[in-house]
Amino acid sequence: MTGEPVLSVRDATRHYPSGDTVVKALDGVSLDVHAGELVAVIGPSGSGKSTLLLIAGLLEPPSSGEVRFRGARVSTPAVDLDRLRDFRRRNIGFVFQKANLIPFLTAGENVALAMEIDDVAPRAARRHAESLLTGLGLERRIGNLPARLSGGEQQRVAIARALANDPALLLADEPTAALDGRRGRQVIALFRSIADRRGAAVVVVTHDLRAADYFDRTIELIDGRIVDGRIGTTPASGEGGGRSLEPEMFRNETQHRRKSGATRSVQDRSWPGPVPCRSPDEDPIP
Amino acid sequence: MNLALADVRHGFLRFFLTMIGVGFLIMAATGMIGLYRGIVDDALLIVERIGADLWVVQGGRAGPFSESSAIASDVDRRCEGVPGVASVRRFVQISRQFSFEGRTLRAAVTGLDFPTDRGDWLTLTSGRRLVAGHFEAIADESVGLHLGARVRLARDDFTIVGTTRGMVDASGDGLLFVTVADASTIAQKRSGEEILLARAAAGRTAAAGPTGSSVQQDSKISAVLLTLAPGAEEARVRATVLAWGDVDVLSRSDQRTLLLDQRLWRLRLQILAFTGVLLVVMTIVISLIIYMLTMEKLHQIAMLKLIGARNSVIVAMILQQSFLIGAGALVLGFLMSHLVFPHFPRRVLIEPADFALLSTAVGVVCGFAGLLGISRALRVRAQEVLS
Repeated sequence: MTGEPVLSVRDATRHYPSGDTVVKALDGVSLDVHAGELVAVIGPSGSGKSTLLLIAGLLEPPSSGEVRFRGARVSTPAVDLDRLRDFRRRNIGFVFQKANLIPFLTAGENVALAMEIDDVAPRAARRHAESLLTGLGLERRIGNLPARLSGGEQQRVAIARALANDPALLLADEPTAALDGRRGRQVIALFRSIADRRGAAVVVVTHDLRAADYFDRTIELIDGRIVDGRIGTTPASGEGGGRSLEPEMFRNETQHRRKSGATRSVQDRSWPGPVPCRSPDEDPIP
Repeated sequence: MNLALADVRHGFLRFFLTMIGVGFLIMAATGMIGLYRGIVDDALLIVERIGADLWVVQGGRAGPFSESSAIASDVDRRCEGVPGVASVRRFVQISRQFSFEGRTLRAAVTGLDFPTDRGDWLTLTSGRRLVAGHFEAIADESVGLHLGARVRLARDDFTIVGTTRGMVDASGDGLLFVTVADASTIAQKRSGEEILLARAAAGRTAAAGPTGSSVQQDSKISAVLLTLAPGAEEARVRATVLAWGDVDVLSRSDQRTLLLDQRLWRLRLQILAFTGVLLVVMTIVISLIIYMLTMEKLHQIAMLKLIGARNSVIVAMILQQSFLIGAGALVLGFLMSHLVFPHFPRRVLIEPADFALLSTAVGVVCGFAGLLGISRALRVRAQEVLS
């Protein structure tokens, strides 16, 4: 990879006091992730994967070290994370093991909310949310509450929400843990497409190595240290395997980007890639 | 997108039940305040409506409402001779229990000084005013007598010729207006035992010598009401009457003060204390409800923070829900108050100003409760969404 990395974690440590001792959750980790790159972070429980994600996502400050975003230093041990909320909203998308959808909002509203709180006009936000969900095969679920969606559908809504503000960095923490193998692969394939088509840098913390062939790199953490940083293997063969089966999810450009009044418009952002759209061949994740 | 409204829509039944619960609290608070207002209004009703400028009562007594009062039967004629006095009326009021159509009823029998006073100051809901000097009565609807009913009081039958609404005495008994002459007769009716006791008492009094009192001890006239002539000096009239030595003079304002600050002050204080307790309970309940609503949403609040929602989004959601519950509860409380309280035996007077004050109090409580929730919500960290 060349050029400025989107995410750059420099010599980050994270120490937690535990009684008389100090637990080193992260111990001098450095990591660069470039635009269009899909990186897996693996490791046993307690190895520091989630801590790395929290620090990279500006949800926790490092005990030492720093986090840079496109070359600019954004997080240090002394940072006030609350002041980074606007930055996080516009630049980082999150997907977790649980979809964490707002239960009283429909799928469409959950996605639109992420834009409305960024001052996008409600109608434009709604239209863009609908196009994102349609692209993920959820066009019939737009008006459904999360309780009426399956786990896979909820996870896709969460991905659509993470993409709503067109972030340059997408961070996912065990996004396939609640899904079966096939659905899990499809979600990772979706991340692959997001990285390729939208040019986003995507970091996925996972235990699930069945979809390892999708990743450009796999970083292994043990006891808070990177022990291995491999370049991804060539796509595996078999059902839904690797880039060869990468879903055609990003075919159509949405026309729903309009500017509205004093509020921000979806069109105001730079859109590195077309809005994802499900391929007719693609088996939707139920 | 309004998050508060979306949440209310999603859990409407729960919100509605919460509103009903708080609405009942507001209804109870409205009832306590209304009961207080009703008691004060009922107590002052005669004083305010009868239109007397001065009340001449038994000397050394604060009658006839705060203390019993009996004045000499010639006081009215003496008062007529005082310069500045335009009209004079005798006043009698006694509580009586009597049977009517197999039921036992209570009324505050009140004398109208017929023919000077035919009850022109009364607002009739049906019938007419008194036209005969005897055996006619105007009854308040709360007594339980209807127009044309004949009721036996003392040894005479009275016909109800008119009815009023909402005319009660301080204890809540409906007023039954008859002429002063008839009221005195009713008051003087005594049982055989009472007569024997009175005779025995008279004998002892005779043995002990005369009391020297100018007041007839069997007088049933409680007070004489004076209406002053235009331009007349109240102080001069008062001084003239007080100079007789056997009576006291009270103004309308004095009567109001005596009723509110002496006769009713314990009751008022009690009701106000209950109202205060109720408001405190209401504050605690509303605060807990809003706080619990916020606690239930901590995970969602963490998610909102994670996706970058400003604090104003979270603050607005909590405050809007808090005020929605308050506003809904106020409307329900108001409606329930108007449905329920008219069936209460004592008048519950819901004054717009009181309800406005209660609404303000509820608004403050909701604001306070919202702030409690907000203080908790703002402490939530975005990463708690992972917990």
